[in-house]
Amino acid sequence: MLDSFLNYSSLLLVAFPAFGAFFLMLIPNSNVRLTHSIAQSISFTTMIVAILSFVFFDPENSNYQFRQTFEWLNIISINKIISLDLGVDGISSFMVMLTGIVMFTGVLSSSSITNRVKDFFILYFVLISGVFGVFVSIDLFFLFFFYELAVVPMYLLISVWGSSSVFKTFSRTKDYGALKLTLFLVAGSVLIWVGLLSIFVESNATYFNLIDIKNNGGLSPKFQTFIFPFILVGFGVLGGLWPFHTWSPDGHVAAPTSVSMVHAGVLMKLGAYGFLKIGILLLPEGAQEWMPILLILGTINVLYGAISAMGQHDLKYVIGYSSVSHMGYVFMGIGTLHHLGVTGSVMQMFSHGIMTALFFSTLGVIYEKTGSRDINVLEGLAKKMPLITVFFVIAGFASLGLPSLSGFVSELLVFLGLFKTHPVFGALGVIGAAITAIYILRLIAKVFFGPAHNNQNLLTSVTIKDKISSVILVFFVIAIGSVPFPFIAKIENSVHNLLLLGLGS
Amino acid sequence: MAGLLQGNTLIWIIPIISFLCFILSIINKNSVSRISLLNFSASFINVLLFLVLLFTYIDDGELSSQIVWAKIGDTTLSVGATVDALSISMLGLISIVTFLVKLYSIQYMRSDAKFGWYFSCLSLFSAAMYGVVLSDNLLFLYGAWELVGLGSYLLIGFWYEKRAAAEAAKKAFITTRIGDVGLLIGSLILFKLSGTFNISEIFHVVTNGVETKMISESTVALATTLIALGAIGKSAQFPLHVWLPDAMEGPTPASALIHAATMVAAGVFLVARLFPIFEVSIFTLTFIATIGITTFLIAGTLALAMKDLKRILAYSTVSHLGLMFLSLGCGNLPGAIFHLLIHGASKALLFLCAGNFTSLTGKSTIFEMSGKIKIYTLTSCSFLIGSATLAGIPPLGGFWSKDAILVSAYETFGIPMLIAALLGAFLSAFYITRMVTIIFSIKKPSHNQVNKTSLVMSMPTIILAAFSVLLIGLLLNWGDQYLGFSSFLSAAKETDKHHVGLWIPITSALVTVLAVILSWMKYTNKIQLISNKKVSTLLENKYHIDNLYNYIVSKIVLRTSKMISAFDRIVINDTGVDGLASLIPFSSLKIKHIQTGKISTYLMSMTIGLVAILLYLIFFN
Repeated sequence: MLDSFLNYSSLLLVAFPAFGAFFLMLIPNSNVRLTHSIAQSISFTTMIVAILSFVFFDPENSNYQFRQTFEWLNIISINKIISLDLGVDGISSFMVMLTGIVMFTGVLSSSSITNRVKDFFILYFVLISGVFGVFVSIDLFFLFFFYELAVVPMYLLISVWGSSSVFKTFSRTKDYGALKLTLFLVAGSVLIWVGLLSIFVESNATYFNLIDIKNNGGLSPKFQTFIFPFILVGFGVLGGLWPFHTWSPDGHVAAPTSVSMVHAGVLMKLGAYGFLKIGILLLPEGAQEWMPILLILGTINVLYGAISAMGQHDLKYVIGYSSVSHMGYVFMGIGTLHHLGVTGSVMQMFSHGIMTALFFSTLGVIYEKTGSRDINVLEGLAKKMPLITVFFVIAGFASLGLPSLSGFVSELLVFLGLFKTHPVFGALGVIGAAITAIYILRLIAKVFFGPAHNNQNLLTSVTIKDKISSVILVFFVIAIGSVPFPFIAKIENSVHNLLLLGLGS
Repeated sequence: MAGLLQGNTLIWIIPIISFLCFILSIINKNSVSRISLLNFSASFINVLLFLVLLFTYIDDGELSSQIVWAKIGDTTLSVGATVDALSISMLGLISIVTFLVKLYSIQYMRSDAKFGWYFSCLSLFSAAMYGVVLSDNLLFLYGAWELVGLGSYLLIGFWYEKRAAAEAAKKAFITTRIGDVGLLIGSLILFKLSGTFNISEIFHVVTNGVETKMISESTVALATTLIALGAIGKSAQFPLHVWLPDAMEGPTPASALIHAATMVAAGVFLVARLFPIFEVSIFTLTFIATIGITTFLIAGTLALAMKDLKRILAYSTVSHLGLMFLSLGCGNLPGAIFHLLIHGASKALLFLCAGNFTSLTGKSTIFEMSGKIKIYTLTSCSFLIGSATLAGIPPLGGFWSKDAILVSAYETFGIPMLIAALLGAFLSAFYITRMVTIIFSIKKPSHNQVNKTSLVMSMPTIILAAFSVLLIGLLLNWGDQYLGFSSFLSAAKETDKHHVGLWIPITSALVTVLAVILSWMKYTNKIQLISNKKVSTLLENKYHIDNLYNYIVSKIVLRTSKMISAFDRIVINDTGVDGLASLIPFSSLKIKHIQTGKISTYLMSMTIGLVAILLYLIFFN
């Protein structure tokens, strides 16, 4: 029973949010509470499916699991078949679980959305359906299709439900953030599309999927070296690779809480996922040629992002830049092309997703209650919001790499990979973690500690939804940090396989 | 049950009990009585377990136990614990001081609203501290090491509503974190060299590698120097000592445990734990010795200028940790650890007494306390014993431990180092006498003397005083199973005994007595010693080291970060991204002029195009 259900899990993950969105269209606009509860139940079910598909993923089996194939287009004249081909390996099932968790906690953190609630959730579910689709697609055409499906709702979600910020010397409107984000992502996807189409043409495979292209002799080294930059920049834009990162802090700041959570938590991971699945697996020779660039840019991400975060005084910008910095570790890990480093970067993708979602959900509550995100204005929140403080501090310590929290495990693995291959970059990475400690602790000391202002009358308790959402995230932050073994065991074989297939080493 | 009590599993029980105590204290955070009972019994059981482990160790030798934490490909990361002479010594210090501090705190913190939180932090801290000393591999050690830092952060910032406490907590964590960058990089280099984090395997691989020239000595020197940075941060050595005096914002008993006896000693412990690879490089040892003597002198002079009792004690701690580093740098491992134990007991005692004095008088500086404290109380007596031990007055423990270090300093670095160390010893005796003389000054009217300290708060001080005296016993030869402290700690070096003669102990005793007398005479105004205004201002400003760091942080680090973030916004975003974007409307405005709507223009361009194509075909084909 469970087995046959699980066999459809990869399809269900895409279908649940998509049908959910459709179902929501049938609900009357006026019934806000019903909309919320439907959204919660859909996302809760999806999360359970996502977690189950991770838990029941068999790490010993190196094939794609829970696979479903539906032929879609058969171009007989050139003997090419495009099919909806869904399935997960260790890496994607880990990412699927991340998406499920962030999706559900994001819905719980959406209670502040009061305007056009139904439309909000419809777009949100389309977005999520797209994200799941990217992670479970084996066919490259559908991978791209789902990616595009995720980008478009983002624009509306930010420009309708987002918030504009005005600073002393400049301002960032929500339309600006939304437009920039969308244009950037579309520009990235153009490059990816060029890359994918040329792989399609160049490959001898009948099926346009990861497995078949690999099995049919792969691609010529010259072609790989030529096409890799397209993939590098295309997915790099998505993952916030320096210097294509500026859409991400502005986008995070403009977006409403739950969208920031999904955006920083999951959407940026699509970029890194693309590096792994297309960059390393299909273009291994190109990857080896270009990896030094990724390694250098990743290091810049880490250090530049951390230093920029220190210079911000808007809480959301701090976290936005810290995302840029933390994604740097993902790139550095991939850049090692060593199984420790790559495992580390997959762990970091998950860890950063959970941690950033926690950051944004607590920031959402703070902003809602105090009406401010300015570090210079906020002070002594610990007295008035003890629970939120605990959650934020846990996220903060995870991000500065405190052992026993998730950030440490993933960064450690990345460092181990780096020290095996490029020790100097490893040392720079460690320094990056220390800079993170500086800005996070400064922020905590300023915003949460110190005397509480009396004019901030905000002893309103945290809602049960926010509590559940944060507790789920905290659970994973601590679980991965303290007992990483079961998680690593799930992804390890797939990473090994990826490197083995790709690099033959 | 018998299996459970076997040494190997027993090792894990000590940290686990502390950790459970942490969890349970959080759960029961509102019940004062439950938390008191819980913490009292948990820490008492840990003392008993320590005794069990001690006797098991003496009978059966080393114990160890390992658990796999993560396994990736051919790399296994495990968490392991081991009990050897070094860890058992530290275990004793930690379990006993934790027990006494918790006992004391039950009374001291009773009226605090965050009673439960205080004990949770304390338990978390001791669990992590047990982890540090028991760990048999660098990775687990690093993990516990950082969690110790977390415990210290939470306790320094315990009264976080106070801006100063929040700042001090932040400063402590960041400063030690800067050192920890070195520790982590150093450990990773060792991992790269040996492919493992296990300490004894690292010793094996590295010493073999150096002998066979497979591993260059300079790489090992780099790794150990970086690891030493971690130790310097945690043990508040110059130039990373600045966080410790500020850390006195935390509750006093927490300072006694963390910032006097245990956490700050972790740096010394770390070097001692990894001593076989530190010994590989003379460079590292000299570096450690230099840091040690510098700190010994700098902090000694600063302790002379402080007015706040806890700050005097803090600088004194920094200074004595410097002495331990000096000892390590001279290759005298047992000397350093023995001083660590003596200092740990007596300094924890002084802090607890300071807590008693403050709660009696409500004041925190020695001048305000002056004359308000009766000398004939349990607390005052133990305060005197602790002070005398620390000042190194013979025949108390401090004298012997200091003496061993002086001898090794002379043997390794010669006369100049001996003189410097004697100067440090002089300073140490001088500022301690100053502190004692001023506090117990009898010149002031004594009618407002108060002398009510509950037994719960004076008993721990007496017990610690007894320990600081009785620890001398460790130096003696107790028969077959225990041949004195240095052979206990490093069995291999039993015969390594030099006799430099008696002149060093005699000189050091004379220097100490001289310092005590001079200081007593000066602060009872019997003599006028030269005092220079400039020097005292310099000391009050702590050699401007804190100011320099503040300057660096606010003027350089923060400005750079502001500049980088402005660069990101203005150059990369506004110019790069938005600039490129604005090229599009700009260029389309220009290009639209091509579309003139005049047939003649189109016809002309078509003709030019046709001619160009024809020319190309004719000449290039």
